[in-house]
Amino acid sequence: MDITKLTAIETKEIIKKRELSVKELIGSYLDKIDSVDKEINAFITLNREEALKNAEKLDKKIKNGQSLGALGGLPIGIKDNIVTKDLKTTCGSKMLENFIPPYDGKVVEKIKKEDGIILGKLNLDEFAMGSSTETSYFGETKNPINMEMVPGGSSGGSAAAVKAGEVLLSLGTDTGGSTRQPAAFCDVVGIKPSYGLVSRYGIVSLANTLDTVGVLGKDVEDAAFFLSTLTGFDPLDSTSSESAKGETIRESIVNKNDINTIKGMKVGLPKEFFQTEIDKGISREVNKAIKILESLGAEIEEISMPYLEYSLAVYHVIVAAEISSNLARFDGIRYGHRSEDYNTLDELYINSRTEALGEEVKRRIMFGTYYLSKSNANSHYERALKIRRLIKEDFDRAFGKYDILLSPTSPILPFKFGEKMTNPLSMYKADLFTVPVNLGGLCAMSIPCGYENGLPVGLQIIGDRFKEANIIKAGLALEGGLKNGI
Amino acid sequence: MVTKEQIQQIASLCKLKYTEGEIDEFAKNFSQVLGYMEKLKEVDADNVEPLYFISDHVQRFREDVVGESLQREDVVKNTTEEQFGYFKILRIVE
Repeated sequence: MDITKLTAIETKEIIKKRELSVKELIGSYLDKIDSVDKEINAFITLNREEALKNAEKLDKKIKNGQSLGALGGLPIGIKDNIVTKDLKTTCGSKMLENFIPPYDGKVVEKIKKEDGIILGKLNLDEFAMGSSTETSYFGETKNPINMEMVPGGSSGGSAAAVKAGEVLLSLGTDTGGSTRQPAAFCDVVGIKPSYGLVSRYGIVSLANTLDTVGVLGKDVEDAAFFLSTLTGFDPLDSTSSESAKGETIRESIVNKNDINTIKGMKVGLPKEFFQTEIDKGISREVNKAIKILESLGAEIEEISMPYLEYSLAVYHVIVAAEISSNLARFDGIRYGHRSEDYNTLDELYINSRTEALGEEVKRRIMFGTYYLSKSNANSHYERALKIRRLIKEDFDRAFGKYDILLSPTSPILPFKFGEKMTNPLSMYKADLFTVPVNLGGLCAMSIPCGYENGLPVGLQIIGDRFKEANIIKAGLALEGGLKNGI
Repeated sequence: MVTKEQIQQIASLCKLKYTEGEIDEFAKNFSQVLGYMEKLKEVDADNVEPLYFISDHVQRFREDVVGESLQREDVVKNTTEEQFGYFKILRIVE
């Protein structure tokens, strides 16, 4: 039996029953990485020795009759923009090529506390800016479904590693779709939780008002279970919420095989989403999924959300503005790349940044600085924030009537390497359906729902703020429906 | 339309440097993306309050107690030049 084919929940059972030691389990995953990652390139840094050492510790714990934490022995990968103590964290950038964080991010601390085993750090677009993982300083990650295609991004390494069986669970981040879009491209489940549900302490900021930690797994149960271990208030993140608890998420997984949980659920289809240009195969598979949910008893209606069409432009302005201030910290002084070529302090800043930041990162810093400059702040930045409110109110109205909203995760299928690199605007459009969710601080899931020409299609299930239970219930029902051929 | 001079000016605010050739390429991209942003002008949003932040909870106070924090030697480990536990840069005052 190939152990790496099992889900996290199944693997947990095997460990619990002592059919396999944690060290054997971790060994199998490291073997898998050795055999496939040369080609896939999902990992930037492998944590081999430490992982094996921790596995031995857990085996000792089991031998002594102690019980393990919720993630007991499960092999986990972490996107490389989440800081890990004493383990290199590069953000996919030359800027942080040698950066070794002196502390753990809150989510990393939680994983360690729950006995999860960190196998290493996963590839991403540089500073999470991109939708294809092509802008990483450490090379592109390949899509395990079809090696000629991008894995999506920016959490491309996180999605590819789960699909290829190199890890059981992985952390991504999601500022505008960076967990959901690669999940759709690589045929796995990705959840972007509500803003404030999971602490952002130790996440290298892209855009603070939109950034969230995302989770990826083989199926809904795995991803939801992983998420439930990461939630909770954190005084070190001033935007972390005190109201949302992991228990509500765990409770929604209890009826895993009961596909009737969706009966009576009110589902809205935003017509502005479905009127845009969508790949024909994606439309077909998404419509099939909607029919499945309907046949399971969901009440489906079309709705109108007039401000959705401005989401992409609003998102672009806000993200660039926040990036331009957040990335000012990379000055070559306290950490990160320092140029060897300078005579003045100003030259130290300019040369260090120019040498070590990639094209897309610089482009967004430039855009953001332009939007925030005195003559444009009103017409661009403030205007975007005003329309952000209108978009949020569109969602508030929708969730006054519906439990969940549905859309494709991406309007396009996985594409070939290089295809969209020369035209930034066409790359930004890959996030058309995912960015509104971040603007509203909502939760959403991407779940595999079919194939077109051998390439996977993802359905996006959107829920109101802190109503993760709804998207998980709907996801479990769809998964059950697909499995049972409904 | 954004001029080359404007782009140079923005670059200097960003502490970034572009070559002449890069600026031409950049100006093209910039104009294309700004063209797309024109869309935002269609919306009548004059009387809408900007949404700076999505969550509505208020910031809380805490007791001012000394807690554990990062160690100085760990913090300076990632700098290129360090002296006496400080980050070392160029002399900027004579």
